[in-house]
Amino acid sequence: MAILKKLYILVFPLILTSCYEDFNPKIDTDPVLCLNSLITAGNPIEVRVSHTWLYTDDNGRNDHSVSDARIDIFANGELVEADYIPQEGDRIRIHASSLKYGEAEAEVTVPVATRVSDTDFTVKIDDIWMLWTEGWGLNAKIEFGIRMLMDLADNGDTDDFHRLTYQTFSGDVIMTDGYDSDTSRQNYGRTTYSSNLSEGQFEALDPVFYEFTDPFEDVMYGSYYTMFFSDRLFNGTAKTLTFGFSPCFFTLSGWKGDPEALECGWDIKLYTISESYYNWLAYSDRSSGIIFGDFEDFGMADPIWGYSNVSTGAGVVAAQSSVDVRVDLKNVLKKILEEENTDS
Amino acid sequence: MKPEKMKRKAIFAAFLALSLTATAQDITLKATDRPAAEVFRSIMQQTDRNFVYSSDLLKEMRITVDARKKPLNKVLDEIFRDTDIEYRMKGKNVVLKKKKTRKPQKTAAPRKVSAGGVNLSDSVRITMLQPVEVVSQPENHPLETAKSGVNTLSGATITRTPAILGEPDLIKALQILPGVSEANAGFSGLHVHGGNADENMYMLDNVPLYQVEHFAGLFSPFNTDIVKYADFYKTSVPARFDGRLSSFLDVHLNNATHQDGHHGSGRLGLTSGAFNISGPIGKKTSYLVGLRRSWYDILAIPALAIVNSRNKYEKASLGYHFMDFNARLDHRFSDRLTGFINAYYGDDRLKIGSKDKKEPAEGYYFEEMHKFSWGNVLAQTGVNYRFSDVLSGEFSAAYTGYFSGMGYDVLEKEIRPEETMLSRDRMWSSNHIHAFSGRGDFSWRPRIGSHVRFGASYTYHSFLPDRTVKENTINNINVKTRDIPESLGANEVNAYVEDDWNISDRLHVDFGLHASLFHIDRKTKGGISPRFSFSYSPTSRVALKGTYSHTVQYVHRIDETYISLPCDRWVPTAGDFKPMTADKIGIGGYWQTEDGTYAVTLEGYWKFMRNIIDFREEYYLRPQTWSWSDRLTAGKGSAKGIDLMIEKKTGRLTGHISYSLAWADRRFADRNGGRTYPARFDHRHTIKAFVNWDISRKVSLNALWTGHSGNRFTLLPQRFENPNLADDSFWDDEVSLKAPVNNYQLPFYHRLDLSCTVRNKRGYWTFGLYNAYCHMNTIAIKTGIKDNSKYTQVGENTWIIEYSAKPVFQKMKLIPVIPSISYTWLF
Repeated sequence: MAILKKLYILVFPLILTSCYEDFNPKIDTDPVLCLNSLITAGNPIEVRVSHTWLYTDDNGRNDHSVSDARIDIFANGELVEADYIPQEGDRIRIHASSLKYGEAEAEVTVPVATRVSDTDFTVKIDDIWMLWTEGWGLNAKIEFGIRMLMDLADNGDTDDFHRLTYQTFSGDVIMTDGYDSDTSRQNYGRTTYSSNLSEGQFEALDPVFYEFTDPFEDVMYGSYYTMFFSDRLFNGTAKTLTFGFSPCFFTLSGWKGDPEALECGWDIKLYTISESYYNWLAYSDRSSGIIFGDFEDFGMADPIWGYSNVSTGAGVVAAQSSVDVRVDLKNVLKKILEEENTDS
Repeated sequence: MKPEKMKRKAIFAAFLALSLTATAQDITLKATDRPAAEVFRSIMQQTDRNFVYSSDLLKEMRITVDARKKPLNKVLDEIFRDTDIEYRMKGKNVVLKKKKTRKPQKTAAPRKVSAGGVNLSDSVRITMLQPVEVVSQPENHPLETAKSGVNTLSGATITRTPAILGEPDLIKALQILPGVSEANAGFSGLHVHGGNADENMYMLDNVPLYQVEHFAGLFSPFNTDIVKYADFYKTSVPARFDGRLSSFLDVHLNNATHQDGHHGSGRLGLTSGAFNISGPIGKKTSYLVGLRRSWYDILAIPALAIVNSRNKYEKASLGYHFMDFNARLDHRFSDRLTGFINAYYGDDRLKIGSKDKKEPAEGYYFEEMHKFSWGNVLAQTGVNYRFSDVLSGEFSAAYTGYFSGMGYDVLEKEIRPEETMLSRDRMWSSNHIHAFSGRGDFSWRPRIGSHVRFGASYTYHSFLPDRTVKENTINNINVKTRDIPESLGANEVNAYVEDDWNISDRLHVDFGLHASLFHIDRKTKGGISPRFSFSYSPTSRVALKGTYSHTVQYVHRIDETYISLPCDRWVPTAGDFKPMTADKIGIGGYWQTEDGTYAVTLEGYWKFMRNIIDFREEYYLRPQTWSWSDRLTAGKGSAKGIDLMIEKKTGRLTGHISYSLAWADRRFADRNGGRTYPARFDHRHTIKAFVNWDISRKVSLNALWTGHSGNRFTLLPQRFENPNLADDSFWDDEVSLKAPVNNYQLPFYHRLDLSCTVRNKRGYWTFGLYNAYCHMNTIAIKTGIKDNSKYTQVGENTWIIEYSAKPVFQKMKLIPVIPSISYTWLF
């Protein structure tokens, strides 16, 4: 965003001389039903029904519930009960009706999760600090970068859409030698250590993360990537997805050799998402950009509306399935610490 | 004899010899009671001379002459023998004026003045008090041509038109014509008779230019100081032009006609300056050089200095400029053969960056630079050969290129005692067209009143709609994350023939045919474009006109915004897309008073456009890495309307007032649910009034009032609940609901622009007021929150605040009064 601040020097006179006037446009509007739902394979279906409102209508903004809504769910063409559990490949159609707001309908197919056939990773140590204290144990801090490789078995018959999420896990803190505030007791004579993993910055090393990057937005914002992508760049072929984190910090305190303390890493979730989900993410990305954000404000670009796959144009019915991958650093860290300990 | 006097005599002798050589050209001319302008055109065709005269000098003058291979001066003597008009040769100009019947008034000290970039010497200074017309090409007088909707603007006319920031601008001068709409207030795009901005062909001496907008469209790239005249065709299109649907603008530069020395001008304005010079090189060669450059980058220096002085750690840099460079060389090999070289380069460059002021011995260092550039390059060379008195030809080769690029280079260093960690992100995205062409154009006048043109051309196009290279380098490990070029080559062949035939004094016809082939992506597409115009004059002051034209367009610009940006892309008609075509029918009439002082033009048109290309609805959901054609859709459009213009053409007070009633709509299968919707520039009513008042010899005043129905705008009045699909969603709780495209019309737009020119001995000052009465026009509708909180003071430092906010629609208003000043120095 830094570049935008500097550009204000150029457009400052324009901004300075602009002004706004409140008014009520004379335009006919009829509220319609809105359907929102995120269907996840293996979980019950939740649907939120509401109605649209005029932008200036405070009442509609505060309460857009629909009291007389009736919802029917169809799976593969058959009407199903509300507790139906959708599976991968199911074609789900949701129909809602209301006497006041009319009808709305949307259909989505629960995607088949893309398999991750293999995962590999490499760790590059940038810095290690270690201190062994007799009776207390090892204190260490390791700075490293990690590069992960995930082999995807893409289904070439269809356009697939993905979303990647991650979070770290670590051994956390086991504080047994000292006062335990939870139990209000003092603990003595047990192994005491703490460990923590700081994940660093995500490194989008694969072209798919830049698939949606608009060059103009990219230049204006500085390098940016998206965590959602399609398989257009590798459709029907084996794909090794590459990404990483850097700089990561693993800190260890009072370690006496317990392998569990080194248990840390990343939980990666690869979602295979419906096209409607992808489109929503794409809309979210573009609507906050330069062209459909800042330029639109100055009347230099057309305004864009929220993506919808519902018949009324309001709401999104999306679906997803996922696979989980755990990248555990325990063995790698143990080896590093042992080698470093031996060297010193 | 004093050396100075000798030198002057020598120059005079050389000039006299040159004049005699020039006037010794033989011409053949036969005319019986023909309009003077028509006869002069025939002379110009044979001699490559210009006629310069006051616009009311030749009213109703008709000529009968019969000359076969006679010297030009003899023929002119014959023509003007019993008239009150005298002529004088000045270089390549034939200057006409009334014979003096009394002693000339005392005038100010000798000076040189300019009209349309043609410098006139002292002897014609008196005629400069009246509007001067420079006739260099077939004059498009409505009574003397079959064409309708055709305008010729001289350099002087363009300079007189008020413009934003005091920059005289050709495209803004065209915007005052009926049937022509500006893209956005203050910007230079054109929408002609309901067409899109990329449907206008801009040519510099017959070579197309793609990028015609500087500074996001505030200025056009034509350096008006060196523009001789420009022909603008918006209804009747001669068969020699094709390739765009809506209009054709052919800009001609001064072709360095001065044999009496080196002349030029320098202009200093608030935001830019220009300099041009032209003159002879020896006896047969002449040159013209023009340079225009903005200095926003210099104006930004103080602001940057303040910003940087307040920041201890970071140094910001910012630079923007645009420039235009023109050069032309003309050489006369013989009376029959002349040659020329013509070059143009224009670009916009924007650089924005910052870097840490010091690179530490240990620690973090950062620097970034973002760059944008876009523009045109043109190079052309050719020869004109006169095969006979009635047949001549021009053969030329040209290169024209459009380029745009943008990118960044971001460097981060983590400097440590043992090593330096280095991370570098680089990106460059480019789009270009290269076009190499060769053409031959012939002009044949088999008889007085008939002008046949025919010719052919071949063009090789190389398109690169998009190439984005993106690289990340971390500690010397390079990862190229994107590089997907998509380039296309195309071959285009064009051929045409047309005849501008004055069958009689009353009936004129202009008919022709243009054929084109466009081969791209292993497919050949073609188009046959018939053209026909006629004019029938039941009396000498009235002309009834009709026209039909079919046009074909093979390239188009796709842009996401209404201003010109480097992300705009020119793409060819490829894949399953068909060439865009338009059929236009026009009927109209022209009437003028007996003395030609007042004239009325009425013109109606219907235009049907097919296979026009635009972004499909929600195209922005498709990644840039997908083919650009996946993001486009083809459809059709129509436009119809009536243009009425009343002109006062002569006297100290000249100008026109026009009214247009128009409709323009679009229909695409993949937009607006396949339903027809009004075009953004569907201005139902447009009124324009332009006045030029020569208050005295030294001062003239110009005023332009424009008013039109507001632009169409897509207003999204309803909201729906955000589905909150992403875990890390930070978006608003509500989202805009889809609405019909261009469902709302903005309020009526109007503004008054004023300019005043004050001449002195060495040049002239131009003072301008854009939007003189400061009417802030609505350019968009925004949504906002109005703060209605109540603040109640209950103690010395105690307030009770009742927070309250109400969502409101707001009219976004832009561009207040903008004063400007510039000085032009003539030498």
